[in-house]
Amino acid sequence: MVTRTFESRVTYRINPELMDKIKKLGGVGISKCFDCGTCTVSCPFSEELGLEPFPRRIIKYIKLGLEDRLLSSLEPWLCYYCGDCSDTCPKNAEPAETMMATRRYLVSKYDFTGISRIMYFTRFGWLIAAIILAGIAFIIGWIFKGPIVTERVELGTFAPVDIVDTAGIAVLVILASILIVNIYRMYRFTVGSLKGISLSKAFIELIKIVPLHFLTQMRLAKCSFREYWYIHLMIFYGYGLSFILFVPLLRLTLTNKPFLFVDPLSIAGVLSTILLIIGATLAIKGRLEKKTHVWRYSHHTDWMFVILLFLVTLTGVLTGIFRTLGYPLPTYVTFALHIVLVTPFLALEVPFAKWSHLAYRPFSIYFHRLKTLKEGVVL
Amino acid sequence: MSSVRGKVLVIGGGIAGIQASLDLAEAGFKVYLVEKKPSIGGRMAQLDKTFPTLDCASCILTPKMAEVPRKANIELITYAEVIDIVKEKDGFRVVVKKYPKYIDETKCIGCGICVERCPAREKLGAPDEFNEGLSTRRAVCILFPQAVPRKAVIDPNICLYLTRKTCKVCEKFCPAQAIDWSDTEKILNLYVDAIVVATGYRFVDPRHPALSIYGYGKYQNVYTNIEFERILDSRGPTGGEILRRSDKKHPKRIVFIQCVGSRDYRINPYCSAYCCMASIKQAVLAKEHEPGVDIVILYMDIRAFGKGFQEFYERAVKEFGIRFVRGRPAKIVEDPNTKNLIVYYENTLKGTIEKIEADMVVLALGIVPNPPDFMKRLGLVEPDGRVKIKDPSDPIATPVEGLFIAGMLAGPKDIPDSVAQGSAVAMRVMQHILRRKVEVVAT
Amino acid sequence: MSGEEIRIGVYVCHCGTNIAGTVDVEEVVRYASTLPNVVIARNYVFMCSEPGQQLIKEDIKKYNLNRVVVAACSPSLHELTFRNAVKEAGLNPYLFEMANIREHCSWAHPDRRKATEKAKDLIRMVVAKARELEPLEEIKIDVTKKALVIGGGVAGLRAALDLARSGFTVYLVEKRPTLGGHTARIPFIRYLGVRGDELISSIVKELVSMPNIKIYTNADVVSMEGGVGSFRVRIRVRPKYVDSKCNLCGECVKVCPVEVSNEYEYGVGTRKAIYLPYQTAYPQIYVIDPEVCTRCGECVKVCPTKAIDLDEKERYEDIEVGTVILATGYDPYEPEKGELGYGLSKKVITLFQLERLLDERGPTKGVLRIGDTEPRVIVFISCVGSMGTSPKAGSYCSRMCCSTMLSAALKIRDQLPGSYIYVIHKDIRTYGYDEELYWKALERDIRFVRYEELPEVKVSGDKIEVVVKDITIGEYISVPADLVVLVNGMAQGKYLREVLNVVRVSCGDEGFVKEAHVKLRPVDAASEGIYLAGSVTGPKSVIESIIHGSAAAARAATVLSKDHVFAEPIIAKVDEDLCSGCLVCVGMCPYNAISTKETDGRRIAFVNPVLCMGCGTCAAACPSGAMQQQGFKDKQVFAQIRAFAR
Repeated sequence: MVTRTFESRVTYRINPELMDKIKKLGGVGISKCFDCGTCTVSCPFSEELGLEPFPRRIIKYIKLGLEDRLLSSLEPWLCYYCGDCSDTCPKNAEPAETMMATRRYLVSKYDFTGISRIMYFTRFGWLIAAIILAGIAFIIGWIFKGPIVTERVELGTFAPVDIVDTAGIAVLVILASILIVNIYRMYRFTVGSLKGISLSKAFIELIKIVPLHFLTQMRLAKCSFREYWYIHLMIFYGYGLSFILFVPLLRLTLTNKPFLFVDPLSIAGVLSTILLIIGATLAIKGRLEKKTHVWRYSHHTDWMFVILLFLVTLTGVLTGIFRTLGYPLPTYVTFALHIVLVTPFLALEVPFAKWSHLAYRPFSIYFHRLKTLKEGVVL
Repeated sequence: MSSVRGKVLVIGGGIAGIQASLDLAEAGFKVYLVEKKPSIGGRMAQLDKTFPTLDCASCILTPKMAEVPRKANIELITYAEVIDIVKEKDGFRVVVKKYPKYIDETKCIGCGICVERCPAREKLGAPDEFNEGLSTRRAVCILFPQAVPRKAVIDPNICLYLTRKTCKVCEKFCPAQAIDWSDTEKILNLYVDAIVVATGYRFVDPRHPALSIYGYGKYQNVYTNIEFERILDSRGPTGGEILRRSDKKHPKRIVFIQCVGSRDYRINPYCSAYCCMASIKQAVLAKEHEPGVDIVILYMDIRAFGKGFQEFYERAVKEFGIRFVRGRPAKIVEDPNTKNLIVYYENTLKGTIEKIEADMVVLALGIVPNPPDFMKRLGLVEPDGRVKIKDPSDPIATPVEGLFIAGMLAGPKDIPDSVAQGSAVAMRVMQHILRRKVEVVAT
Repeated sequence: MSGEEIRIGVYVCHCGTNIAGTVDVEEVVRYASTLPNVVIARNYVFMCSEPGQQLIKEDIKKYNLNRVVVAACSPSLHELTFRNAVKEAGLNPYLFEMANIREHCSWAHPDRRKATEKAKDLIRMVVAKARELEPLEEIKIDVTKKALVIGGGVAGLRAALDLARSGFTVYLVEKRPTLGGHTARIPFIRYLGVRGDELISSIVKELVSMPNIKIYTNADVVSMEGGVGSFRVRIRVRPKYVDSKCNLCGECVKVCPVEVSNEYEYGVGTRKAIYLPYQTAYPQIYVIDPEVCTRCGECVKVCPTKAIDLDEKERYEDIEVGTVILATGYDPYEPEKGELGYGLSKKVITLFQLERLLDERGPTKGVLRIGDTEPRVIVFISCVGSMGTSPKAGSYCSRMCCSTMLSAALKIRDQLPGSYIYVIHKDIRTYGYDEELYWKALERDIRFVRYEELPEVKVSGDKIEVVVKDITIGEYISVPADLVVLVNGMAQGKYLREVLNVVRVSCGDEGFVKEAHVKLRPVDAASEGIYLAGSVTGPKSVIESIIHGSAAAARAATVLSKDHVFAEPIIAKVDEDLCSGCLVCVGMCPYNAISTKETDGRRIAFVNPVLCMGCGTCAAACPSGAMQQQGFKDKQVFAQIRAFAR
């Protein structure tokens, strides 16, 4: 919305529809908020210096319709959805949900393609997109599949590693490019420019901050519901390990070699599977049981993520089992299904939906650092 | 007026009940004023001063209290509770349970010698309810010096004779031979034409789980506002000196927290109406007692809605330097050495997280109506605690014909509104009775 | 009381710490006991309480006291209390005097030594006067069992109804041509589903069916004399120029050439010089506004029942009543032209105008339209006219506007679910159970903006932009509004000053009438027999005004239920032997209480004890000393002065 300087002060023009959008994205209790500030002081991150306190302020931006201020905020990403704010809110306004809804909103705004908006604002847009992408993957797979050997499991024959690898890299490059552009857009909204910071300093900070937070998610440890951090780490490393095994190390794993329980690759595979299954199960169970404030509301994009993740994991696990047990046809079928499911899963989630947080979160910490450097605040 | 025009029961001897009784009596009606405590006066008797005029509460209340026994038409029944009402003919039969005082009211002169002599004190005594438990009272006690009626009462739970068959010192020294060990619970049946229930309010429990973050009961220097009122009162447990529980020192900073147990969906969603002004009043009085003290009031909205309220609020800021900060604290931590309290809140008008160290914290407790049990049995109490009324435009008439409410029982309000409702309900009762009599005569 | 030994009891009150905190009461008591004729001197923590009064009563009996002095707070607070106590002990209550050592001493002087010395001086002076006191007999006044209610708004109507139902004769005088006041034009009370005009109609319906009530509309009270039990009042009934033959056909309106803004719709819409104030007005008669009528006579020509008489004159009626209830209400604050855009655009309206637009029986049948468009963004700005937000505004809070504003906002949401409503406020003061309205408003997506700097309403042609700084986020925001509602509060009634010339009550600085005691006597005026109901004493809601109406009626009933009341004998009295008949006093008396009478062939002054208010003006003016104020006689006052000078 139009922002203009009026008599040497900045005046933001309101967009009254903003609150409706956030409500659609899961900000269920936002209407109830009456600005008391209890959530802000309950937030374990609120004591960090240099951080503008939240979530009350973010909620206020939304209620008044100050879209510019919302887009330029990093606080929604610095929030780790611990739910302490919702627990103390005297109006049951669920500020944690509003922050989650805001993240969904921002994801849809950072994305330049418009696909993200479809994911978030339509109920079954994701399903249609998933089916289309699965269809494409199926067609390509059908065309390029290798011979089907039924006497023994020859996964490497059925799914020629070159094809899969090339396809995988191609998809990866496309997704990464889109994501990088979106990250740059995020930078433009929040930091704006590097005025006052040298490029080298910016680069050093990037190296210091992004990998660390990406790999440890250590800020989650501050939340009072500790299990949340552990579950998230399990899912992260479960997936991370799988990713390493089946993308860079594809040539070592997508072979005709049988499953040996003792070699490091197999062990890694089993480990990743266990981590993923436990993590995903606990997460699904939690969402169904609505155990904490954090899991009481699930937006359709949450279900999208969890369902696809589960199916991908299931098909991957089944492939491994059938492969070990030596059933060729089930192996090929489940593997095919796996590829057909993984394609929409990655393609939709990483740049356009929930999984984009793997980039936005660590970068938000980095961008926050840049902002404080610009303003000369010493942390 | 020689003949009595009707009989009315007023339950509750607080300011609303007193006003209703006086107006009805003056207009020629017989009033039974039943009060649970040994004296009328209600909550207002516990106050030091009233807002916004800073009138001394006792100074304006006690003359009204004193008028009650002077009116021939008012029969004052204290230390008694109405346990049931039954509709009978055109009126009600009321069942009143009188608790044993063990003192003959007709003989007791209120000299107080028994109280001075009673050995069941301190450890053998009981928490003094009038001082909100901040001091102890003896087994025989007079509720407060200006009690009406000024008669003693013996607490059978701690009286040495009634529990252990020893002592009897009071009997020995009583100049009027008023001690009556044979006193028992009595049931009284009254026949009245109309009933006014003015039983006031009770405070939200500060130990409610949703209020545990404030640390009441855990941290010594966290007080409720009614406790603080007693501390400010020169008749109170500290003689009007503000001394804190942990080390009996004078505080250098007091922080008031508003809306504790009000405007909270977990406890009570309503606004308690009186507490913003009560805290401002207490802050001003505290400044008068301790000129150097720093006072901060943490609020969400300052409900200074009545006559003179906004002006008093502005005076508190400009003249007395009371600091008002808009923010609701979510955390209070006690310093284990100093027993000071550190209160965390967001200063919403500055957008910063702040913490403040206070020697004392006063919680402005929310209030809920206090209906007698028989009203709950009659289905006259809503699930959220409000008393049912017949018509939304008339807050003092219940759906039961002839049964009315007044004062805080009819919703949170301040003293002038309670007094006005006391008079208004007297008029409702008058009409209810007179119209029925006319109808009866006509047939 | 010549010959009898004067025996004085002196009681020094601590008043908690109010006096004892500054004055050394023990020392003062010791001093008092040394004064001549003082038989007993005591101190006690609260003299006005039951035990305090008991002390006096017992001492009167025990020590045979015939004078009592209480040194405590102002007599305006407890003189009556102590007089009653003294009376109950069998002593004439006018042998009692108070020394004010609180307002005149401990509260005014912080220095302990000096305050104690002053307290001693004050007590010495009063004891000196007490020696000279004489017993006085209260004046018995017959009570006329009739009441006058001034003001036919909801509070006055309720009071009138209550008193009429209780069997008393009631005169109800209303300035406007119709009953109902502002409440009749409020379409919804607190979102409760209750209509203001229905509330009024239900009361009026019952009132007009009662034989013991007389209603005067288009009438004023022009003079009032007397006091409690017997007020003599002159009512002026102004001509409506239309009588009861009017059948509401409306032909007159069609031909009337004069069109003015309709004050009954708060300016939303117009009316003619001949008009019916509103649909359910009572009485149901058209009326002509003499200030704008051109006397063209067109209406007379077309009236089918010949109900119009342009030559109707005003008439007067004299009545006598025992009590008076003042319920003249308020008027809404009228923003100045240019204040927050008011008067500069038809899109800027007041809360009262909004309520008219939302009324299904109103000028737009309840459809909210500005021009022809449905407003999409609606902005409320609260505290207009209150809280010192403009130079003309009151510094007080108007109490009812937050709740009313939110009820109106909810009504708008009901009608226009797609609208966006912003409420720009200072505080949200939905106190007590009204907090429910705030929570409902939040649930219905009404957005709240808190301000400290007054918002700007920029009008440019057809467009309105509201710019305000929300201090909870520290940002200036700009709202393009289709409708701006200025939430105006309650201000002094337009005609209150005129009424105050007649009715003996006073007004505070903020423009509302003062009660006898703001805490414990909220519906009593300072003068006995006069009661106050509704928003005449200060802003309040309709429901609160109704309660106050009943409360005032109850208070009036305590007087009317009796056959007599007793007036204080602190009045002027003429010593017939000394009076020379100069009659200087007659012109001095503000209450017209002094007339003349013949005695022994001389014409001397005579004071009517019922009318005399004891102001003392005549006694001060009397050159011969014949006129003496009972209880403040020259010898009594001089005794005080001499005691001070010692």
